[in-house]
Amino acid sequence: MEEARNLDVFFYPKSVAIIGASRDPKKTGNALIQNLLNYGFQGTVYPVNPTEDEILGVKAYRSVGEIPGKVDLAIFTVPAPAVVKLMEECGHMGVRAGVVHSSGFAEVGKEGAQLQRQMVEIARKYGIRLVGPNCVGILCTESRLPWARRSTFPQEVGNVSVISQSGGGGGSFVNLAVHRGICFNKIISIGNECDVSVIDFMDYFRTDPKTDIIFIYLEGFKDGSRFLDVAKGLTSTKPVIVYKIGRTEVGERAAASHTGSLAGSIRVYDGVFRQTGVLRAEGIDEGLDYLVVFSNLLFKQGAPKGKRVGIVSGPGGPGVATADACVEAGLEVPDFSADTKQRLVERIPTATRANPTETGDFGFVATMKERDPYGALVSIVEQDDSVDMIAIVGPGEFNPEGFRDVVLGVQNRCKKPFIVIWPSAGEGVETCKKSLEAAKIPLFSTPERGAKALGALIRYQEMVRRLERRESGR
Amino acid sequence: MSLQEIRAAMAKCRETGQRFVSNAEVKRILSYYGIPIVHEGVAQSVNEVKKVSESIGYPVALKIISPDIAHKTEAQALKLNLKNSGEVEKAYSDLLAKVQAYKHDVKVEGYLIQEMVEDGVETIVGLHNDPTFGPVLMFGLGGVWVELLKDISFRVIPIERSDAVDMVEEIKGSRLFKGFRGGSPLDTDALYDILLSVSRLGLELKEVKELDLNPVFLREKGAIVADFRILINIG
Repeated sequence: MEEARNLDVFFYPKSVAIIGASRDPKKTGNALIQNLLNYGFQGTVYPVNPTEDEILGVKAYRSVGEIPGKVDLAIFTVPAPAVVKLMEECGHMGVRAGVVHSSGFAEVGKEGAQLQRQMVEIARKYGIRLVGPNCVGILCTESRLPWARRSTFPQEVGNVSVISQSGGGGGSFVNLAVHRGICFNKIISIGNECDVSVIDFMDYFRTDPKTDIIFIYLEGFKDGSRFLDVAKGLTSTKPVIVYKIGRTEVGERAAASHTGSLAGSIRVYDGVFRQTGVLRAEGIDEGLDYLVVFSNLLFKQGAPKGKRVGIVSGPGGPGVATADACVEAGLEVPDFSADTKQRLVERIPTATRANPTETGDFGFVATMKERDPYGALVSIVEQDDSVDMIAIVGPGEFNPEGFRDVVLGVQNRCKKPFIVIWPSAGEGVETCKKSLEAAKIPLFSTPERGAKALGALIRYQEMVRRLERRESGR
Repeated sequence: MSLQEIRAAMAKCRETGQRFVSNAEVKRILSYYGIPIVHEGVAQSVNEVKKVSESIGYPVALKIISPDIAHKTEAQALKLNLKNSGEVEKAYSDLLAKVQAYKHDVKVEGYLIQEMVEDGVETIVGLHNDPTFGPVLMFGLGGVWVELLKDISFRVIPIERSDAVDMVEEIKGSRLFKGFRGGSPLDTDALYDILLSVSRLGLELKEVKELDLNPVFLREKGAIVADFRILINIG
């Protein structure tokens, strides 16, 4: 644990040196300083450039050796051979950690790999931990440490942390997620993993009080057996969601056995994930949906006690479609109690008594704000003991503002976890969807996506119970 | 046979550059790990084949033993459900012609006569060295369907009994094991035993590169291996 906590310096450095700081706006070394200023980095910034006195209004230094204060984190944007040379100087100056953005290392071939080895050797000599090379850096919403080569940043501090083996892919995923109302804490572009690995950061997040959910944009693990050890102690307290790209080359070997020919990497990964309680999202959409459900239902609204869904819908078809999708996703759509049925029709005479219940009369949509049929039905359904969570299915394009306000009202009152499925589009709808996402409403555009994400949450809970049973059975 | 003897036998295979462990050797290994195999015997001549068939009892399956044949179905190197000595005799000559057509200079080491198992569901249990995770255990629907359906699950070894249960329940075809069309449920406990034994085998015999038990007949009482193969690392 001591070891893992040492990685704090990557997220909360008191000072950073930008080695390769530049006045040229086209260079990473310039954009990075701009980003540090724009994002509001709370520590001291030391631009390092052999000829400049000042960059973007920040006093610059000719070398790391000239920096008057202590440097926690050095960020390298200079060419690969220069990184190797300057690492020694960083060691002398007591730099604790380095993030190497520069490419031209192991990813380009033998000579690059040699440079990478030299760099790591020097860093180890001085106890400097390294992230990268060939990455877009580390972002922390708390310390306002920004990544490079991107112009937008997640603003709000949250509980989701990301480890990405793809700089571009991971960053784009985060930006998509921000639009779904997800709030992040720490984001790492891991690059070539010359020193600190994906698994090291998983281990770090295990004891990081600010991280509740871990998302990994994965090509492959370097040390499979260590992954098993780390993941087993992690997944039952913090959900780990993996989006896996790429496949290991196993095809060259002639398939001499059935097992050999069937053991494609993704199938083996799936087995390992089940063994360790990791959830694999089959696509970006699924990854985003999982995060929406996990961050809202598990850590804000409160986890559902079981897998029974009560569905409250405006339109008939989409309500039934949601029921279908829930059942297909492994959830249950139970019949309401006699008491609930009675209260539903007493309150809204046109409502259907079954689950899903529908408001039944278009007039209610038009007068949504005044009569609030959704809110009325939800407040009855949530009191039914046979329901663990609620799916609210939105109306068409008519009166989207009314529905938006109704949902915000439900958010304030509803005591059971809920999601909103709004299978509709159009200018007014889009605007209202944006404000719901900004208000952290778990919102889905189709019944299938919403139900699948709820299904994943239930699967996760079952997995945790199974892992706990196993531990206690020992 | 002891673990030392098994290791010695494997070391010998490696020295002679033999990728597949011989049929007799595999049988000894499986028996050491308590993995049940169908009754069988090996013969060289047609008369011997008939004699062994008698002693096992009809119906029997007849298979060619050859280092040149990895997948017996593809090479048509097996005949099933032979009911009497006449059928066995005919199968004997048919098989030789078939495998020679498959590979003209095929090396035939002998003939394997097995008790015919027809009841139960064919499954596969395998072991494979994954480049990332090391030895992984595979379970799935077996027999000739395995590569078509790919209804399989994996776990890194060692596994516990609950992993074995998960592996079996995870595949789509697991409903077949619970009894269908009025049949009784199949003996999945016996299957878990085999999975756990193979897990132990993989842990103790690092020399094993790949292992196939296919098919493993899962029956109402017991589970039994009808064909098997072990490849070792010779690199």
